[in-house]
Amino acid sequence: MIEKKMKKIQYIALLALGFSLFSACKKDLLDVKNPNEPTTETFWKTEEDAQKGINAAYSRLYKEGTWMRWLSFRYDLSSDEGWSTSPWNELGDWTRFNYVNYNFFEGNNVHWQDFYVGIFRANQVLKYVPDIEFTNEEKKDLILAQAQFLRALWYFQIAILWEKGALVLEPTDASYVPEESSEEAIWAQVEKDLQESATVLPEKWGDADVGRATVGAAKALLAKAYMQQHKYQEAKTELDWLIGKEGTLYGLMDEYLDNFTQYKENNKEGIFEIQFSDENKGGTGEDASMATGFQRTQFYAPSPIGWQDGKARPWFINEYKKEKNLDGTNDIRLYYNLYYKGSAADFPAESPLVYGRSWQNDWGDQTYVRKYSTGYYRDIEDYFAPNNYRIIRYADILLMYAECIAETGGSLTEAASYVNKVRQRPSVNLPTLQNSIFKNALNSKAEFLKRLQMERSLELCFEGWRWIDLKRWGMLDTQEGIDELKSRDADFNNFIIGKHSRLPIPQIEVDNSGGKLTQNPKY
Amino acid sequence: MGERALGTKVMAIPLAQQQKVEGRVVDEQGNALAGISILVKGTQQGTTTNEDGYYTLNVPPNAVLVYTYVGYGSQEETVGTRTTINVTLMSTQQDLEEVVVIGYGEVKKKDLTGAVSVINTKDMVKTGSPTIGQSIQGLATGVNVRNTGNAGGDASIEIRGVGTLRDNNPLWVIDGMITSGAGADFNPNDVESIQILKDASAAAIYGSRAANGVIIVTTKKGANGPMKVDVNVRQSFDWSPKYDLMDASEYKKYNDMAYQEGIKDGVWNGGLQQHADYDTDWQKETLKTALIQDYNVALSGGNEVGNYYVSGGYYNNEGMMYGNSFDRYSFRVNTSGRKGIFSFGETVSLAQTERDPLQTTPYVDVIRMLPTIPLRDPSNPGGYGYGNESNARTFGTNPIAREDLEDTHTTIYRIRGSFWGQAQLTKWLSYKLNTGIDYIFDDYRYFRGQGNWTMNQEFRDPTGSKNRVKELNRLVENTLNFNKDFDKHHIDGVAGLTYQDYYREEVGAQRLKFPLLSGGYITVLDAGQSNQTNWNSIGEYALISYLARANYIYDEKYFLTATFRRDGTSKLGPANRWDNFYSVSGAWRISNEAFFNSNLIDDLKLRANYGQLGNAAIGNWDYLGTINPNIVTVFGVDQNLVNGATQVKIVNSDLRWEKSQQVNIGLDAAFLNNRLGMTIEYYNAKTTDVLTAMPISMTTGNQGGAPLANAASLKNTGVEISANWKDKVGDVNYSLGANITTLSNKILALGYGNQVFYTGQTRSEIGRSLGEYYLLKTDGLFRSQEDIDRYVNSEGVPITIEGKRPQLGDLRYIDTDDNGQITTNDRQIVGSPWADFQIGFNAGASWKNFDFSMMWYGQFGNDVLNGAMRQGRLFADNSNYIRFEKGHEPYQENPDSDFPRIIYADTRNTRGDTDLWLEDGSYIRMRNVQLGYTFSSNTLTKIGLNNLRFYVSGNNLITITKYKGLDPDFINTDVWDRGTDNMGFPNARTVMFGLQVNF
Repeated sequence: MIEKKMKKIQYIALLALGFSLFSACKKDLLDVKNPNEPTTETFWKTEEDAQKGINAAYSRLYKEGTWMRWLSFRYDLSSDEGWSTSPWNELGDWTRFNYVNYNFFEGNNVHWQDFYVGIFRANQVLKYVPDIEFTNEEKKDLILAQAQFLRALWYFQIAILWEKGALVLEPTDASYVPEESSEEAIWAQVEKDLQESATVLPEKWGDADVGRATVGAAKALLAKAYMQQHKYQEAKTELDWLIGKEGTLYGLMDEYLDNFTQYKENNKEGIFEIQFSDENKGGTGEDASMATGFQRTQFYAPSPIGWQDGKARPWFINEYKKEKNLDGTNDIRLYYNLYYKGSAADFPAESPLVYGRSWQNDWGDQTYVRKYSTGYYRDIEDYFAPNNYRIIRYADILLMYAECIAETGGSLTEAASYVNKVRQRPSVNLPTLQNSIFKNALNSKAEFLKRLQMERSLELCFEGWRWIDLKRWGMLDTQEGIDELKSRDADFNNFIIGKHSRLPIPQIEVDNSGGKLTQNPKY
Repeated sequence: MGERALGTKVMAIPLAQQQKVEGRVVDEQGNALAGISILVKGTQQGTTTNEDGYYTLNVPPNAVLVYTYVGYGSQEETVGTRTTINVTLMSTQQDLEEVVVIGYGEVKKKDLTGAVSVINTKDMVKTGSPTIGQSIQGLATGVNVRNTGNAGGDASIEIRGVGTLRDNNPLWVIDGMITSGAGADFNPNDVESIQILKDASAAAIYGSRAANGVIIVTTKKGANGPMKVDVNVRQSFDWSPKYDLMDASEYKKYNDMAYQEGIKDGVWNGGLQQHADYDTDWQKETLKTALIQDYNVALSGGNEVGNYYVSGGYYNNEGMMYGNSFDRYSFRVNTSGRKGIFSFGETVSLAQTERDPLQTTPYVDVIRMLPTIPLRDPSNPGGYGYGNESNARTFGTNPIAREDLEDTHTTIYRIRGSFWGQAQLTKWLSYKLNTGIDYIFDDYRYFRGQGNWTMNQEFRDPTGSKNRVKELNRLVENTLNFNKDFDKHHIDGVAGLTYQDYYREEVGAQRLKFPLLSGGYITVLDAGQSNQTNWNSIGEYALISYLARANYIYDEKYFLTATFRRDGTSKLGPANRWDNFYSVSGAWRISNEAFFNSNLIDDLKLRANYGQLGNAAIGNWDYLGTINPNIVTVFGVDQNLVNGATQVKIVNSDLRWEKSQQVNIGLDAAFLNNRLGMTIEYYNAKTTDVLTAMPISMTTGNQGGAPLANAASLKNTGVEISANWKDKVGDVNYSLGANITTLSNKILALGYGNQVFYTGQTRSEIGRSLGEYYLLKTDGLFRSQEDIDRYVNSEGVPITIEGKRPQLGDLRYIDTDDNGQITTNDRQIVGSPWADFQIGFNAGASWKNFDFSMMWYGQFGNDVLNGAMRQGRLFADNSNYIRFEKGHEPYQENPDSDFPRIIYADTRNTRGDTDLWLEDGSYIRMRNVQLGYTFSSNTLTKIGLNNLRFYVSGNNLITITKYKGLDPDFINTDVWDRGTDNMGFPNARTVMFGLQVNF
């Protein structure tokens, strides 16, 4: 009897255990939160969120598709200033107008992708920050203005490289299909964003915030946008403000080299600089160790220091040596902009070493890009160079101003005075135009503008503006222009007028747009 | 005689006239058969064998002994003058009484209503492979196994095609614990049985995770009897197939030829390379014949109230490729016991694997490195040879340099355990609690010394990092099982509730600038002097399920099974979290019907089922939009790092389960006295709501991969046939088996309204199969000026290739879109990576003490893009070259050849996206051949052993194929481009010596 009872008790106990385990399985065990990241629902609520959001927008300057790495191949190497003999044939092909695969990542798609991510981040700030409560509304306006500046910076590049695109002004979702916008529409947006941000941005930031967009940066970029559309009068108005700040806010550095090293970054000549630092040595992803250094230097350095994927065209050497400076020696800018075999002989007062070594036999008669290389302080290159890249500097403003004065029918003497400031930088010390072998430049507007083209190249070579300049001057649209470029850079033998002045839209974007985006003509 | 118990039942016959006969009865694998009935023919006199198969019997003169056992037929032996008669009995029942493990239950093989492949574990261990995945290639229909020779690597397994665009791995259930895989830490010698559940009926009980099929593994248990010791020792020699690469003089000849052509064409204005005077054989430097050692010991035993199985193993592969090696230590304890209505069991295994993984892709590097580059070069940082601008212009990686400069090592500790407790509540109802754990602790270290392995490499400080990953997987299941027979009806079923959770945490740290002292680096992280970084991330998910199955059998003739499962997962948003999965199946044993009368057919069963399974192999939080809080930028005069946060990835929040609707119809038959068994299956599986990361427009600014959406739909259909024959001819027992699988894959939808999806080499279009080769079609060479002149489109426009007109010896491409230019728009569909069918064939025979077996495996009709040939004929760049076959030299050398002009710096004849590199990947391979010798029982009893077998075996020794790459069997898990051979690790060729001892 007892045994039967024991068995029954065992039986019941087991069933009870079983059922209790059954019901113990609560459904909310399935609410597993993500401990790694906050969700979009919980963000964009505080002032600090807004600040982080705009910081993340600046972070897009540190990506391969920008000046950090590949953009120089589009603006410097494709132009008549540089070329590529890279053993990575396709990479080189995209500097000599040999575009076969319109989805080539490093030549085309990386730029499109990186610019639109930058725009996405700016759009997030512009959409969500207005609803955040700020104790000081001015701080909110500053954040929004910075977002507008960055958005305009990216759309500027899109207008230059593809001459059309999608105008995305709000964050979108996965189902978004782009609508095509024309070059005019994109420029109009660029102008609007820059005009609005220029009314809010400060002239200067505190020490901890140096590097953020300023009113000078916005006006400078706006002037460039106007000039690109040949709106010289509007450009001159913006430049007036900047020129008016010479001596107080802006000016030329005495030493030319001070514009390209990490020692005197954020000086009076820099108007907008990418703040490169070698503190982080990670990859170019989106984690806390992401690289924040300048990488182009590794790609331009001669072998075996760097990949040697980009080189300078040699015509620079003779061009610089056409005139001596007032001390009777060669233009020091030649020394600082190019590595070449005759450099030691041409500049006996300067160090003949290249990355700590004398000219190697392997290098033969090649000319390498010296500007921004870190050979001034070390004898290796890596992916983490710490010298800031000056997207716009004051010397460029002076030359732009001269161009605007000439283009709007102003006095050529007045225009020449601004060119002379650049020529007469203390360490450069060239004679004024009027006292040089180029004095005929003041005879007519056409001759002046022609001379100005070369002055710009000698001062600003490999700073990402040559391609944009060639476009503005119409040299990519006429046979005469192409012939002149061919004489300096044989790659232009591949150039087809009406085709290669713009890049093909990434083919995969065209294919996936359901007909909304069309490919550029002749592609 | 020792301790062996004697048989019983001796009749009374005058002793003087009787003769003593003794011996042993074993099955065809040499295992002892206990309980065999041995009768003197025509009498009731006889005995049975004991646990070790031995018997002794007194027989009258001229006796004939009849040996019988259920499932083994019978055999007669005339005694004559023999005093020792050993007999091998062959199983004839085709194992129909065999019990097969299906999810949450067991079923007799003959009662199956679904498609379940049972792997013969004796065949499985023949290849001596270190993982289960690698061992089952060719052993089951519908299971596509692709293999690798990478030490510490594992095979990739696809069951019945590709039903999803992301993860096609099947679900593994190991001793009741549901995990993602067996992997290289699991000792295949511990496996008792493997069942592969291929269709809805079988797999539906696993519901939302079963759409890719389920592999159920059960490990060994102790058998009743005194302790048995099994020792297995294998020593193998592995070597790698090699490319037929040129040596230095041949390379120089063709390199100069290409350069001269480039100079002549004006595309290259440097001179020829100033080749250095080295002749490095990179394959010889990196490959060797490796020794593999495998030792296993198992102790097992038990009685009616408990049993045990304890095993230990050590496996070591020193690696046939430089910089790759693998070690495994494994230990296992399985026990079970019972008392009254309670029973319990546990399985626990501990394994430690040590892996030196590859840092580089050596099978690519040996082609890219030139023979004119020395292995070492003291003038380079680090002291290794690699390319240089003047005489060896290549960016190839020196594989020895990279493996030496980057020291990496992974140690993985894995604890797998399961515990179950069961109470037989009534005769027909039992309750079972099943729990399981799978804990993985992964220790990874990385150290990079200073030095370079390729030309122009950027400078890197010595870098050291350590990474620790902890994965905890836990399962709790409660089930009620019922099982009742009344009259001709049989009902059984199971109902249950399960909970599983998974937690993963990764922590790591890195520093730079480690000191180099007395020729060695100090690598502890404390010694790193700068750039201290660390990382930490967590992943977790949980799953709750309700399951039920009912099985009804009437009169052993009519079978009906219904299965239902309701799953809820944390990986989907609350609105889509729960879903139901089910299947219905039936079978009809035609051969038991009254009207069925055939001498030929012993058993005939028709079965069919339909079901719906699910798949949610997605990330833990893919439906949640998140903010990345780790963004960094730089501001300030001090250039400080400043933190930012933003949304990086765009997501779809309404993600849901993928659904797979499957139909399976099968026929099982046994013929000719159960000597011939056959199974034919037809299956049709359609997956909808397939999670796909279709690219969205870059203008959205999305990063981190395209967002997942349930947008695509795929269909897989096919036929599987398998047949087995067992028989005996004289003294020879033999068996033959063959299986054939066909698979047809079709895309039904791609998502986002897309009709087609392209990759660089393939095209996937609705209505066709995934990843068809979409390449430029070539049409011979231009051999005369007329050929060139006639190369115009339909409007007479001369066609240009890469902007230029062709020359003599160039490849002629077909201008498919007729626009006068050869561009990527001229590509056509030129092949398919899908095989028309896959076959496996095995044969075994035993004669006296010898046994022989072989397994063949192959597939036919698939095309492979030969990545190695593409790299080894890349004359537009600098690379070493694969030798030309006679008559196929470049056009400049042999104008009758079919190989075009080789030109440096010009890609017109070496484009990667042409059909020049597409080859027929069909092959048939002798996966394993084995010859063994079992010492006879006389010798054995003298030494005190039960069994001693010595064998010689070979893997992958014969491969018949037209494919010119290293191995037509390779792993490529890219669903959009599965057939491209990207120079991964080929399979090793092996010669193995083995010893099996039991006592």
